[in-house]
Amino acid sequence: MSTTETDLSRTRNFCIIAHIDHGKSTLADRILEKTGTLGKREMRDQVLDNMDLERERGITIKSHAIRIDYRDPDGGAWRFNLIDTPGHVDFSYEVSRSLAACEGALLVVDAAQGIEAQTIANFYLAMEHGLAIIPVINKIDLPAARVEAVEAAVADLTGEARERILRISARTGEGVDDVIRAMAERIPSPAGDPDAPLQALVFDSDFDSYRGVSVYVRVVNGTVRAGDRILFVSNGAEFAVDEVGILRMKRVPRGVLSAGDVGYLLAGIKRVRDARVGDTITRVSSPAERPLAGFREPKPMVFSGLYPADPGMYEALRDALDKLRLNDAAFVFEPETSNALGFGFRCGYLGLLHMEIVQERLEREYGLDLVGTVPNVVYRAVMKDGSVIRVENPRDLPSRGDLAVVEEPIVDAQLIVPSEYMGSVMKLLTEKRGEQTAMEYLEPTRVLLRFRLPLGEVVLDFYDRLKSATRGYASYDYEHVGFQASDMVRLDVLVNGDPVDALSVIVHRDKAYAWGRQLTRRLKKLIPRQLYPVAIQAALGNKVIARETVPAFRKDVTAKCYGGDITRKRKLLEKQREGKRRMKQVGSVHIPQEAFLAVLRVDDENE
Amino acid sequence: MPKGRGLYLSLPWDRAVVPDEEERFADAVRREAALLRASGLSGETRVVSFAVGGGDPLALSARGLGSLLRGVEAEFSFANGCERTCEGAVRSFGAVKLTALREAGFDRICMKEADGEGPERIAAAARGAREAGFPTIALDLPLDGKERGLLDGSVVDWRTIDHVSLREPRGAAPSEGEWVRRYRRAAARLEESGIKRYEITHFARPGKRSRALRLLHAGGDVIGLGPGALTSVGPMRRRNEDDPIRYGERLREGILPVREEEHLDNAARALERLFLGLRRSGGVDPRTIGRGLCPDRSPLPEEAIARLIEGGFLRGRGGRIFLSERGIVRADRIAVELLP
Ligand SMILES: Nc1nc2c(ncn2[C@@H]2O[C@H](COP(=O)(O)OP(=O)(O)OP(=O)(O)O)[C@@H](O)[C@H]2O)c(=O)[nH]1
Ligand SMILES: [Mg+2]
Repeated sequence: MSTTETDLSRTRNFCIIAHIDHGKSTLADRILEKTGTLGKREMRDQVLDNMDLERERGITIKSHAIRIDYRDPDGGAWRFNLIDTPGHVDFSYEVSRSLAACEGALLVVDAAQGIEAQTIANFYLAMEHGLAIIPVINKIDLPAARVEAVEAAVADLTGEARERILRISARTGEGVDDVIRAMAERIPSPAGDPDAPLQALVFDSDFDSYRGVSVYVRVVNGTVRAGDRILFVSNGAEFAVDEVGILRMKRVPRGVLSAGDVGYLLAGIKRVRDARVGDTITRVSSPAERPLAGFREPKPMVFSGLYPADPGMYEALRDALDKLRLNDAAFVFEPETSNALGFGFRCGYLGLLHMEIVQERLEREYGLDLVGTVPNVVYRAVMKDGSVIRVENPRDLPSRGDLAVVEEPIVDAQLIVPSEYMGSVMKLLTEKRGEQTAMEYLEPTRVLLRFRLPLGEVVLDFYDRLKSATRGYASYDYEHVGFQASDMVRLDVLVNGDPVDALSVIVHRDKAYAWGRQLTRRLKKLIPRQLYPVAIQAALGNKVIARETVPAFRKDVTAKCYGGDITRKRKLLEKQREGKRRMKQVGSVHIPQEAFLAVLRVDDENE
Repeated sequence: MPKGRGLYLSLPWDRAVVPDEEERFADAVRREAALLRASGLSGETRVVSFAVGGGDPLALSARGLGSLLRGVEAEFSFANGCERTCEGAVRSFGAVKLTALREAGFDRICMKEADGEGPERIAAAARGAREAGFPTIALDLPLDGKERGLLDGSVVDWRTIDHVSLREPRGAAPSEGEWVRRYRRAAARLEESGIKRYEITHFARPGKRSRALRLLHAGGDVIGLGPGALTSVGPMRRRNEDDPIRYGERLREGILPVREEEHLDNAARALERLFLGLRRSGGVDPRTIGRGLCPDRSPLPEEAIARLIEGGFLRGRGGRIFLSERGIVRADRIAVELLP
């Protein structure tokens, strides 16, 4: 059926890639509009961003695929499968999955901002996948557009002739017809043989409790239809297909998906784990000989503790985490306990935005009130006997005796910086223990810097610091390249002599003293006065390296208790009780929840 | 807790007004009392304590005051031996007024020291009240630093005073340390004079504790009349319209002049009992209070009590807990610490 409707030679599978905010989703809007895929009534801005969080934050978090049936002005019928992708570095794995389902990519560049870090990173990803790339300069309607300069830089980066670089405004629609024409002309049709054994690449999946797992596939060879028995090559799991179809704004069932198609299948799969993204699906009766090249599974590199503010909500939190994981293969968690925070979970994320989004979803969609601890990266502790321990929680760092060396994760980062801010950026990078590996002028006033630096220095506040050092005119992207031995130590925090495990951090020895001082100072501001003075200490092993004291509560003597004062006082005490409930108790000290994130902002303090 | 209820009449003025206005106000109060009775709130129990204050009752004419009291008395039943207090500024307690008050049935006066009134005036007013035959003489004393001269006994004869309430002075609060010093010094002087603390800020000779205050502090029923007056009956808390004009208007329309009303749940009532109880020399029973505070009806957390006793903030005796000297100056905070 699908091959009869439209010839495979008139099928185009492509994604839209760009740096964050350069207008991918808006361009998708215009394409959907101009091809008549969505009517006026269905249309709204960034219509493919349909998660609440996406709409609120105005960013794309998940890739979204949509099928477009298009008749060109000469009457030719086309079938486009468009995948809009996220721009943020945390979600770059979404981009690589989407690329694997496509033959082409629209590389969108903002005419005012020019090439940014994810422009370069995504461009190279698309190259690696052997995709046809159509460079598009967007937002030419902006008064600040620097079309000529940006075009020159794009030509330089992509090696494309300047005449072939499209100039458009996704907002006004100018030039979008040219984009549609270029899609038809420049992106190759999918190769593949509908009569060969089935090979379908799983490029995404999601879960709803009603229908189970929806598996999003690109069929590379063969066909698949309802009733077929399929096999996931990596784990041998077998399922019977209930339904196949294509992706519009909703799923639309079809009789068959065949080579070249992008679509979904439902097969009564209950666990997302059974339908691993990157896996190959084939048919049980006539299996393909080889799986398709998959892609690296994203590995969480950033960890933090997550605890229910109300200990009674532990089970509810666990259920919510379980459900979240169904839709987010990159997110992991396991139970842990803390002396300060009680029972909770250690959660692994791809990066800070990912962490923020998971926590926000838990609070919003599941109504949970959470206490998060400071995120840390994963370390490798190499022991004297040669064994290696993966350290996801600072308190698990083994003690000196058996430890040979601690290795920390290292990234290759690329930064694009206006040359006037070079000085302050270099200073920041040095402070973050970075090592420059390359430098290149993209335009006369914009520099591409390549640095190798510890991931731990990047996750905490690097982005905020970079933004303030460059007034927001810099972008960065990074990629994990491995682990490297470093002189890392664990900094512990004690309140009135009791260690607070949830406040321990792993830092480089050279920075331990400065951290200790700033951390205790910051905690002093966050911990309210109590009945007793509270001593806050930072320690390396047994050695206290910084100390601050919160003085005791102010005494109140006479505040009389007459009629009106009673009600006022009751309300005040109720409020204080609420405040106390939101605090965690360590020994006799109440610690507010914000304190557990105190380290995050340590660098801001310039006292 | 004394059996019965308290009644408090709050006056809007502290200086003389024209007779017409006195009469209009007396009329409004009469209507309020009648409406309260009609609503069932004046209840079966008798009034065991009646106080007039807020503004300065002594600024009223004898006729005005008399008509006010008659209006209230007509609608409530008073117990035999009901305590009757008149509050007023020290300067107002002249000999003529004192005699009139005594004749109107008041047995207790409470002198509020206005700013700038020296010990001589207080001493004279107290003497005058004794001579007029008042059995109980109370004094409201701001800890503004000047109380020092007063308390040394050289001018005021403390034997003429039965009840003292310490209060914070108007204006800027002194430093934390100064505050505590003044309070401790005053408390010690009063105790030496035989005026003993029965609540953090209230001191009395034996048998002279204020019934009105004891009702208030024990969570008893107190009905307020007049603008801005507060009513507390069972779980209900109510506050009247503050503005005397609106107060009068509402009553002429036949409506109770209620500005806010709230019904406390068990936990809120238990919280009141806890912080009010902690302030009293009798302390609280952590088991009974805890029952109201915790959904599972468990007692106050023992671990918190133990910690506070160990820290010297609380003492425990006979199953009850009391604030120590150290705890008295942190009473509210300790209540919060004790909350589950
Ligand atoms: N002036 C102008 N603004 C545009 C144009 N295209 C997009 N924008 C605006 O740029 C902002 C970002 O657009 P999006 O389409 O959400 O960008 P995106 O690349 O999808 O962003 P992410 O998915 O978060 O990476 C929005 O405010 C758009 O309205 C354009 O052609 N002209
Ligand atoms: Mg987008």
